[in-house]
Amino acid sequence: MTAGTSPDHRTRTRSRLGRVARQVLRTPAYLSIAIIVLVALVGPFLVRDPLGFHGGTLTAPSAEFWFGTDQFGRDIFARVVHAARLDLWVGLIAAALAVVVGMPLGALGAYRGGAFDALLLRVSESFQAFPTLLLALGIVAALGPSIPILIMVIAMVNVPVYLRLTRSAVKPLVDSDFVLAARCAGKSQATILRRHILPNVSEIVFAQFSVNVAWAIQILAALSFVGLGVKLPTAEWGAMVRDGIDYMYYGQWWISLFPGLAILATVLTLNYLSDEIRHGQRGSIGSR
Amino acid sequence: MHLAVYVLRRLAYMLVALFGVSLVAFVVTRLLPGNPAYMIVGVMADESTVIAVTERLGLNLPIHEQYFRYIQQLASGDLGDSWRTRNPVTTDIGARWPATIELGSAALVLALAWSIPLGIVSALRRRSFSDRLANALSGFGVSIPEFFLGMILLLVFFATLEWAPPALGRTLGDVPPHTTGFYTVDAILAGDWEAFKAAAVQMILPAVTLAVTVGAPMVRVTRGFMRETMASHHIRSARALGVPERSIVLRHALPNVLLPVSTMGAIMYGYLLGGTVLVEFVFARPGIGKYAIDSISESDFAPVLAAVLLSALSYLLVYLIMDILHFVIDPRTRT
Repeated sequence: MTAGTSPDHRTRTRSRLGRVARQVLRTPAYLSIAIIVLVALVGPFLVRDPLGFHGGTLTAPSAEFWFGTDQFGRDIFARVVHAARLDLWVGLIAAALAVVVGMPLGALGAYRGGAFDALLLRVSESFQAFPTLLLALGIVAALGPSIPILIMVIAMVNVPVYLRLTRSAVKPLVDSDFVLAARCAGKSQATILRRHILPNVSEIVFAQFSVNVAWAIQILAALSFVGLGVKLPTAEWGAMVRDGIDYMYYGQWWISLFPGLAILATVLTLNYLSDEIRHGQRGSIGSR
Repeated sequence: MHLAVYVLRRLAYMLVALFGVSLVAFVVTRLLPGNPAYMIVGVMADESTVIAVTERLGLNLPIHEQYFRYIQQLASGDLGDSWRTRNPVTTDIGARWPATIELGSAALVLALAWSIPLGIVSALRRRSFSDRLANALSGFGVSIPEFFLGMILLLVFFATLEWAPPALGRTLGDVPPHTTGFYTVDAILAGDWEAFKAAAVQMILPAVTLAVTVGAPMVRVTRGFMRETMASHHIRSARALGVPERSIVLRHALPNVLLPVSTMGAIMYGYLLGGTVLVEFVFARPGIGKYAIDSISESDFAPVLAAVLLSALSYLLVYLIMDILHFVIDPRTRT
């Protein structure tokens, strides 16, 4: 943008920003994802040490400890806030990795067809038959639970989702006129896929992305819950739910309840966000 | 395409998929830490004993030869032995699968009972109370982790209201005489009302947990297909011909919706039969899922492999049966 932006242009930019802001405030899904992301980014700087002993074990929620303390006297509120950063990170990176691997593979399979496509389909069918959680559990148990391994495993079980999604979205485009035109113009296969086909399916993939971040968080929480996720005493929502399982039924319900609600709220938000993206694709934010 | 050709082709696909699953699962379990030979003989055993056991188990062979031996065993119906329970895996699974099937079946019935009617009603009355309810419930059911929902139900109905029994396995009463392995069915067959009640109450909360999480996506699928069908030409024609609304929904729309919805139900059933690790874990229910996770955490190869294969097999089988049924019912699939 040049230095001498006309006032006219500036107002337009500002009003567009205003429109985006209004839209965010009006749509619960956007508003609540904004809050969750803000908590994950800023929250950890504002709360107590998630691993420290803060006096009094198993104290009920109070003005001092909003979510109470656990059996080691740790502040559950601080732990829930810190875990938000970890869970969101793992979810985002795992889902992004799955897109990066699954989307081009699916597009290529649909575009080229033939034996390559058939092979991809069979492999992803095998993966579909695989009990996801058992597969993830087995690999984590074999390679040892560490954050990079967890991300890889969660990404891996998400790849077939994008592969199939992209494949089915690209398939009807392969014989369309604009692809034919691009082919006649002598564009390479990679260019056709990147410039002409993938932009057309990206909206579908991004609506799915939000769902898959949610799913990734659920898998991470489940793995940690059964003791094969993050290492103790790392603050992670699923692991924290597990921490409280023995206390849950004997009066100290807050240890498990708050991290569990955090998972529920985050996953619910991401799922609604996906609906919102899908519905909003014909207008709203950034309308063309 | 002829039915026999179709079935054979699908069977071949299924075998290929199973082969893939077994290969991946085998490699993964062989990577699990710890030499099972030590677990069998104990840490105090001298080296020659350990070597002998390692050789007997074939663990000194290269991995492809181990896999080949495993497939050979598998073909003769032998799933290996669990060193943890010291039983053949087939025996262990025979004792545990009924618990999973019993729970999965109860959960599926409950899930279908709430999700399909709600999906249909919400499709017919857009933006009504039932549509909003369907939206809220399915959103909730899709988003809540199974294990957390199970714990909340236990907190409310066991710890607080004391209506439900503690989550301690399949029954707190007498185990009914073994006929089918399903405690509830066996108790009815034996005419033992008390034993039936004891087994059934242990199933209520886990079944409800699964019914919520499994039913939630089904509400959405049912609603989606129902809306699509109600907007279709043949429904418009029926309306134009003056067919009463009730008959339009029940006779003209519903059959079209039940076909895709039954596929979804079948997929869910396949998933449930494969063992629901988290729910069995929370409710301490000794099924396949619990067996698998207990074995994973102690590097017990054979049961993990068996559980994975069983899970994949039940999924693929149910899928196959549904596909064949569709092939028979729906002429459009025969192209």
